[in-house]
Amino acid sequence: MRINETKAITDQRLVESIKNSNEGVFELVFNFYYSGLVVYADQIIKNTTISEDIVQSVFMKLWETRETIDIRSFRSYFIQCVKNRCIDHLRSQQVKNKFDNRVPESDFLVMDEDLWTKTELSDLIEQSVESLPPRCREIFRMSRYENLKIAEIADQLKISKRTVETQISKALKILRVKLIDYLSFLALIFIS
Amino acid sequence: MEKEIFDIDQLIASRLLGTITSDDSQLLDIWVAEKVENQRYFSEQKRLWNLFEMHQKMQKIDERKAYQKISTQLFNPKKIGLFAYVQRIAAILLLPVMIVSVIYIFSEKTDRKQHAMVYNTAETPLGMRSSLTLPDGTKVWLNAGSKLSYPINFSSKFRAVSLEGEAYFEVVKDKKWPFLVHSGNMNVLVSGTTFNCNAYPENSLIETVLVEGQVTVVNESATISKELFPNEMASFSKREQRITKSKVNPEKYIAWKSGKLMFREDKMNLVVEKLERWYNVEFEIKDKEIADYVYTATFIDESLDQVLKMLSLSAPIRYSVSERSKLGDQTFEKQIVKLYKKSKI
Repeated sequence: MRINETKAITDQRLVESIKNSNEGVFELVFNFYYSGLVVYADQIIKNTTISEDIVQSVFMKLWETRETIDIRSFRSYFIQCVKNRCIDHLRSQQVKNKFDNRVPESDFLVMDEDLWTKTELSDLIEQSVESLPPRCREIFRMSRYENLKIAEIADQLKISKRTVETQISKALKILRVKLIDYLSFLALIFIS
Repeated sequence: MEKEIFDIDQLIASRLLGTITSDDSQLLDIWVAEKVENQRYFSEQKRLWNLFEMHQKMQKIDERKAYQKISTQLFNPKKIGLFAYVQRIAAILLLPVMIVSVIYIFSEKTDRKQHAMVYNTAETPLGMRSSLTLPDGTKVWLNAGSKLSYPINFSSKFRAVSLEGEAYFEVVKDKKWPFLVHSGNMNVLVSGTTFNCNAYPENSLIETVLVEGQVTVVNESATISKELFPNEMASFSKREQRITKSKVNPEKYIAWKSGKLMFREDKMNLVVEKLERWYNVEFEIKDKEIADYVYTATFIDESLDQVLKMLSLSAPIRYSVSERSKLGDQTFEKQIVKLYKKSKI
């Protein structure tokens, strides 16, 4: 939240610097938002390579038109640009491929406005995962970050699959309490 | 109905994990459809799950490579100078809390001419330690097998040094003249403070322990940063570019500077690694279990022989030391110490 409160002042200054062709600041903004935007685009496009291309093109456009830009918030600016390009891309795909009328799942509409940056998300997640009881944390990490299957975890820790599931459901229950504010908070802020 | 018997969180977890049985799946669908509250609860848990998936995906994205790609198209390809680099670091630190005075750095022309820098390099061989004073008065202790390079004259904007190995810094305070330690793909940004940085290239972690003051640890692309307070350690994983913070007692980490070798519940493979540098010898662990033994001891000015004796007295270990053999060019080979598990008798 701290970041969001100071965002308005920060963005103004950064925008000014970019208008003055400051490459260092441009790179900083790129590094800060890039991976979050790619993941955001990926939710719509379901293809990481294309998503990366889309986000890169948004940044290139930003630099090329820097002298005339009017940005109050990078977050909403980037979301808008990336979203538009993603929709354009999907449309062109549909034209190419008439029989593929894949409509994005309704879930994505809910996720739509969540834009996280790597730093924000890492901090948040690290803190909340840290607060889990040790056993629960270990199993949650193995499942979410080491990509182990339930059976593999059960095997390694010599416990039943059922216990693994119970521990993960326990983790989710605790994490929910920790993170619920962020889930709804973001949805409110960015739906506009 | 008797639906209250099942644990809804368990059902949701197994649905998210993809291990749900079709019976349970039906049960869950009925529960979700029952009430609006249930629906919301379920969708929130899905979003929560998604948050972790996003996090994992983000970790895999390499913004540095992407930036290189677009910057070669946008700008004339050129090497990123130290100035631009530090500017970037300075900028990321400003993101959370913007301070007007530092904006000043931005407003300056980036294409200012850089003065050619002349660098000094201080190096300590294995088995030795040394200390030196930098041009700004900062004191540095260098542990065995370490290398520090620094400019003969620091630039007026910042004091940047680069480190390979382990060093202890007592940085002269100057808020307007940041001190920057670059090692591997990580940086420590300092205004005035005392800390230890362990960055041997062969280790996968870079460990920074703060004794006094405040430092910020930043990765190379300046996307991740962590502030450290006294008695905290930042472990930076070079491969994953992750910084983890933990509370520590700094004593163990800085003992080397006063000639002490201190182990506090350290695993034997770490003990051995330190001894290798400290005494310039090579260890061979002959029985694998030894690597996991946990060891606590402090050695002050002991010879290798004495240290090994103590080791074998307090841990179930025996050792043998090879004779140094002469190599063809009249130099001597390193001594090799072999560690074995003590038999039970």
